[in-house]
Amino acid sequence: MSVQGLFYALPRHGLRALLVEPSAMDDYLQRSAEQGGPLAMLDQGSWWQHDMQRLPEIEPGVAVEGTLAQHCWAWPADVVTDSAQGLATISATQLVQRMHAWQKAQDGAPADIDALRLWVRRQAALRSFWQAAAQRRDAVLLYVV
Amino acid sequence: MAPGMALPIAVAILLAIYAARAAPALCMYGPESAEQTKHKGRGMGEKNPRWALGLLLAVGWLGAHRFYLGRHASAVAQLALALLCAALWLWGGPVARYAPYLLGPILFWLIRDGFWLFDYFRVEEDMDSRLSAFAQSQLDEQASLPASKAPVAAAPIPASVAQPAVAAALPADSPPRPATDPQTNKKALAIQMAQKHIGDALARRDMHTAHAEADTLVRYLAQRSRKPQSDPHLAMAYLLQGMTFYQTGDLDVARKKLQMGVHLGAAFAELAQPVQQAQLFLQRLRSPTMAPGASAAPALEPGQYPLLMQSRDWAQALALCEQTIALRQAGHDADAPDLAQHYLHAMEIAQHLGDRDRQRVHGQALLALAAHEGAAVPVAMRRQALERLGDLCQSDEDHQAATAHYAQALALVNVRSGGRNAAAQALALCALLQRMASSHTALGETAQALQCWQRLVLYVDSFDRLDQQGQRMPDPEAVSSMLTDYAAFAIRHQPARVKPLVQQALRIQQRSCRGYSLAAARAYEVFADFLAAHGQTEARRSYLKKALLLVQICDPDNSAHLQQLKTAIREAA
Repeated sequence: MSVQGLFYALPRHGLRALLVEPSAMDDYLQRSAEQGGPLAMLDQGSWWQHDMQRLPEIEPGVAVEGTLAQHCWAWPADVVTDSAQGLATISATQLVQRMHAWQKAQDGAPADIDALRLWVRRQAALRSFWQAAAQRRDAVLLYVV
Repeated sequence: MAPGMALPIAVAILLAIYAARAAPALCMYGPESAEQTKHKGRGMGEKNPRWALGLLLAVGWLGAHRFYLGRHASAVAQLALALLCAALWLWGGPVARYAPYLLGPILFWLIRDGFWLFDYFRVEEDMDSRLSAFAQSQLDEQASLPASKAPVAAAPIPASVAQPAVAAALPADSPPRPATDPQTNKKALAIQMAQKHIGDALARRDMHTAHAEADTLVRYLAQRSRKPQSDPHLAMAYLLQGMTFYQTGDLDVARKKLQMGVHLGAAFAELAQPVQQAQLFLQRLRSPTMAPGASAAPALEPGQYPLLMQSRDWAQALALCEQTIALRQAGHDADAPDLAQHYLHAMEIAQHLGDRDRQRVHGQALLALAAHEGAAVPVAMRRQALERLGDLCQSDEDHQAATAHYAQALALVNVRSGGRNAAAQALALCALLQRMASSHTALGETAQALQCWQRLVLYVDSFDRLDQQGQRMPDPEAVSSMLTDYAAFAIRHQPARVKPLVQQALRIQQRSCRGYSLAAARAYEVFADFLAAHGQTEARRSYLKKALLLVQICDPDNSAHLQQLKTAIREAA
C-alpha cells in the first residue's frame, strides 16, 4: 500500500482542540474533506516527502502523536502565513534549479522534462493551497496515511 | 318482523326487566348510594344506572342504553350496525356469510360500553355526593351569615386575574333562572362548587387539587353535554380550567384550555366578559414581554436587566439594574441577598463599561449593606465585592488599600467547608493569596509576599496530589498561572525555586491539555526570562520559540503577543 500525504486547511481556532484530543482528528478530517470544499484539502500522493524536502520555505510543523496516521504535522495559522510568504517568493527558475540539484544528488543524471513538468505542477498546487490557507488565516495539517 | 327475530327480542325484553331489578347487585354501587341516587336522581331528572345497565345487557346491541342516556347519534349507529347484521343474516344467500363479521364490532362496542357506563355513573355519583354536601354547606353558611351579607359572590379564587372573569360569568351571580331546569341548576352548582374548591386549593398553593377539581368539572360537564357547542356551562368549565392552569404557571395547557373555552363560549352573550378576559390571557401568552396593545418594541421591566447582560447591552443594563436597586431599597421588606446580588451585577456591568467610580460605589454599598444586615448577606457575595474592590485599587496602584481589601476577603474564605465546595474555596483562597502577594511585591514587602506564595504553594501541592491520584483539579490553567507567577517572583528572590515551579506548572498543563495552553506558554516565557537573567541566551531563545508556538496555537489572533515574542526571539538571536 503506497503512502499518501494529504494537506488539510482547518480553522485556526480549532487546531488546539485537535492537538489536545488527537484521537478526534480522523473523524474531523473526514468531515472536513466532505464539507470544506476544493481548497480545504490537497492530495500530494506519495511525493509529499520529496516536495517538503525541496521546499525549506515551509517551516517545520508540530508533530502530532496519537492519530491513526503514520505521521501527522500541524502548522498554526501564523506559521502558515509566514510560510506562504516564503513560498510566494520562489520563482520557476529556482524551482527547476532545485529539481536539478536534487536529481543530481539522487543518481547524478539530469531530470527529464516530464519529471520537471510534474514537479512544477505539484509545486504550483501546493503553493496555491498554502496561499489560500494563509488568506483565510487557516491552520494546515499534513496527514500521512 | 321475521319470526326468527321475535324470540331474541322477547328474551331481550325479559332480560332487561330482570336486569333492571337485579342491577343494584350487579352494578358497582352499594345499597346506600343506589338509594341516594334514587332520591337525588329522580328529584333532578337524572338517569338511573340500573335502567342503563339493564338495557345494555338486554338490548344493548340495539343501542337502547345509549338512547336512554341521550346519546342519540351513537345509538342510531349502533342500531344501524345491528340491523345491518340482522338483515344480512335474514337475506340469506351468499351475502349471509358476511353477517358474522359484524358480530365482532358489535360485541366489542357492547363490552366497551360496559366500562363506559361504569365510568359515567361513577363520575355522576361522585359529583352528586359532592354537590349535595356543597349545597348543604352553602345553606349552613347562608344561615349563619346576617341577611345583608348573604348574597356575596361565592367566587373566592384569590388570584386577581381569574376572579373577575370567573365571578362575572358564574351562573349563580347571574339573575336567578326559573327552577324549571334542574339539569342547568345542577351544572351551575357544579361550576360554583369547583370554583370555590379551586380557589381554596390555590390559596393554600395546592396545585394538584386545583388541577384535579378543574379536570373533574370538565369531565362531568362534558359527559352531560349532548351538544358541547350549545352548552355555556361546558364553555365556562373550560375557561375556568384554563384560568386555573394559567395561575399555576402551566402555560401550554392553559393556552389550549382557554382556546377551547373561547371557542365554545364565544356564542353566548352571558359569557362575554370571561371570554374577553380569556382572550386577554391568550394575548399575554402569545407575547409575554409586550403589554397588550403596546407598540412592537418590547418593554423590559427593571428586574429583567440580566437579559440585557446576556445580550451585552451594558449601558441599558446598568440603568435598569440601578432602577432595580432603587426599587428594592425603597421597599420596606428589602431582601438583603437579593439586593446584594443586584449590587454585584451592577459592579460587573460597570466593569464592562469601564466605569470605575460606579463599580466602587456599588461595591461599597454592598459592604455597607453587609455591615448593616450582618449574616443576611451571603459570605460569597461579600468576598466577591471585596475582591473586585481590591482589583480596582490595585489597578489604581493603591496597593495598600488593595492589600486591605484582599485581607478582608481572605478572612471570609472557609476552606474547611466539606465536599466539592472545599476545592472551590481553596482555589478562591489561592487566587486571593496570589493577588495579595502581587500587592506586597509592588509595595516592596518581600517577606509578606513570600509568605503568601509559600502558603499558596501548600494548597497547590494538595491540588497536584489530587490530580496525580486521578481526581479532577479545579481550574488547572489558573493553578499553573499561580505557580508561574510565583516563579516570576522567585527569579529575583528565590532562584533555586524557579525551575521546580515552572516544571510543576508545565506538568499540570501536560496532564490537563497535553501542554497546549497559554498557561504553559507563560511558564516557558518566565523560564526564558530566568535563563536570560543567567546569561543563557541560546536556551532562552529555544524556550521563547516554544512559547511562541503555543501562543500561535492557543491564541492565534493575539498579534501583539505574537509580535512581542518574535521580537524577543530575534533579539536573542
